[in-house]
Amino acid sequence: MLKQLAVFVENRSGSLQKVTMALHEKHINIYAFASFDTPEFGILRMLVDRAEEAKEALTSQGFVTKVCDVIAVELPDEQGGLDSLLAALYESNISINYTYSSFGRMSRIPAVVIHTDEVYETENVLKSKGFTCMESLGGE
Amino acid sequence: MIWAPEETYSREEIQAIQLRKLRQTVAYIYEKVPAYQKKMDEAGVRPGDIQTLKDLERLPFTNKSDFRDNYPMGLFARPRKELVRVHASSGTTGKPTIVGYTRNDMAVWTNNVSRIACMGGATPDDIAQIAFGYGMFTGALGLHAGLENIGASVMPMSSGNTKKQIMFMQDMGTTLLVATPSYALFLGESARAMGIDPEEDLHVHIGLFGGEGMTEPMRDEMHRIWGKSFLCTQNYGMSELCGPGVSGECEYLQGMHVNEDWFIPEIIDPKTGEVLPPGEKGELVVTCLGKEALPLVRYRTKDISRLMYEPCPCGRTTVRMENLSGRSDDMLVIRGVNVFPTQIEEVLLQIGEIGPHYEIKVERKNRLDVMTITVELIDDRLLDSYKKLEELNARIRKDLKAILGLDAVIQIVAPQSLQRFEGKAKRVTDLRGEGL
Repeated sequence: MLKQLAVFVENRSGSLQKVTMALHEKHINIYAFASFDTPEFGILRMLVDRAEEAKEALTSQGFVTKVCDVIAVELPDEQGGLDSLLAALYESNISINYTYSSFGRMSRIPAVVIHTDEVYETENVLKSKGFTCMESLGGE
Repeated sequence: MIWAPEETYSREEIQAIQLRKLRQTVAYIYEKVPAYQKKMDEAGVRPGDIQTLKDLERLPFTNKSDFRDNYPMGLFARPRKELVRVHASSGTTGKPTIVGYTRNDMAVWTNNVSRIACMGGATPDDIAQIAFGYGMFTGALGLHAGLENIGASVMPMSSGNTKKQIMFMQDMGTTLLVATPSYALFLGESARAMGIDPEEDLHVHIGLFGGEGMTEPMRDEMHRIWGKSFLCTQNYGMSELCGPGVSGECEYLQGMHVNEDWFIPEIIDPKTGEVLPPGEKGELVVTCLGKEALPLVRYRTKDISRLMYEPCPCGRTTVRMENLSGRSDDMLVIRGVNVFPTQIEEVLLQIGEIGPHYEIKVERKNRLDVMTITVELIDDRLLDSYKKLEELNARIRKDLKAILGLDAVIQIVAPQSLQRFEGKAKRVTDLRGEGL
């Protein structure tokens, strides 16, 4: 299980950079991020090395920020990898809210970040089906 | 066509009627409405003190807040069972302003609207399409009754459904349109876009406009779209006074003739409350004469105008009020609907996920008013999913629509992104200007 940072951003030029600048100032490392082409406003989601500290930095600058749990699953770089993961979730009747990809900085193995309504249950299901769930994407 | 002989009475005749009715009205409210009695007692004025029209100035003003303080029907002089109609308009908060009519009031109202319709060129031969929204709003049913009363054929279309409006205009040969001026422009342009030339292909040649002010650039635009011979007049009223039927423009377009045997207009300095000499610009105050259900004395309309007593070439002798040039309060007129920023604020403050700061922007896009309300998000729980943010957006819209009867565009922004004010906040930006 990983701590994900979600930040409310308005849909206008420069608004993502205001977030990254605030994180840069605090020397926070961003491992993964995702944003989508939503109108008016959006949610920038990130995995960083120090989520609580990042939240504090952003909140103090007026951002609405939330930390929540997400799952990161190791997925060896081979054909059918994502398909087998999605099949495992489908068999267990689990719907995905959103997903994006990254990679483990030590293992150099691709990772799929997943959020579902019941992340703990999902993680247990995946583990029982032989998937490796990561505790960090970082190098430590 | 001049509908009623009273419209051409001499000044002396009009004033004699006004004084007689004023004295009756003041005695009536003092006896029937405790709120008026209290106000008059506090001002130290008795019904018997009204000896001349000038004595009107001794009476206290009535404000929209009196409706709120006596909500829903505390200002009524007749019991509910004597009412045959109830309407409502915007209040300054979540509660509307309730107005009502006895059978007699309905007859007077209808005749007053008939006068306005005739001033604007209506005849018994007309087929009238009413594109005001029906419902609690007095505009649609007021014009409806007034036009029916002169013998015109009335089609109660209500507002919206533009293609259907144009189809009826084509198929039924509509000659008279009742709408807000901005909707009339929108209808004309929509017809053009459908390949119909309003001037050549439609028969609409009279427009009776109200619900919002019509500026001169709008009138010019109306002629460009609907044709040079389109007679477009505006008329004035407000629910508290009766609805439409207080005053209207004649074909000479030199201000709106007031139905003076039923309404006494005054112009005051909105700051001091002093009555200003004839011809000066200030806030319009209206006293209703002879209203049974909801008599109203010295009602502060908050509309800025000027009174002109010079004779009009149309033959009417009644005083004319100049086209409104603003408000002495912060009320907005959006798509013909009166909106008080306090109404919006009350709704927003009840929504915990957003902060107390907000901005209201009103623009004219494609001929129609668009209101955008910007609010600051403060609740981080909504960041779970985009859907939750969208749901918040939809909920704010729905709550506002329930109170205002209007759709607004909601913009959710980050906290601290709206301007902060020391002292009185400037929350409303009206970008519609004086133009179109």
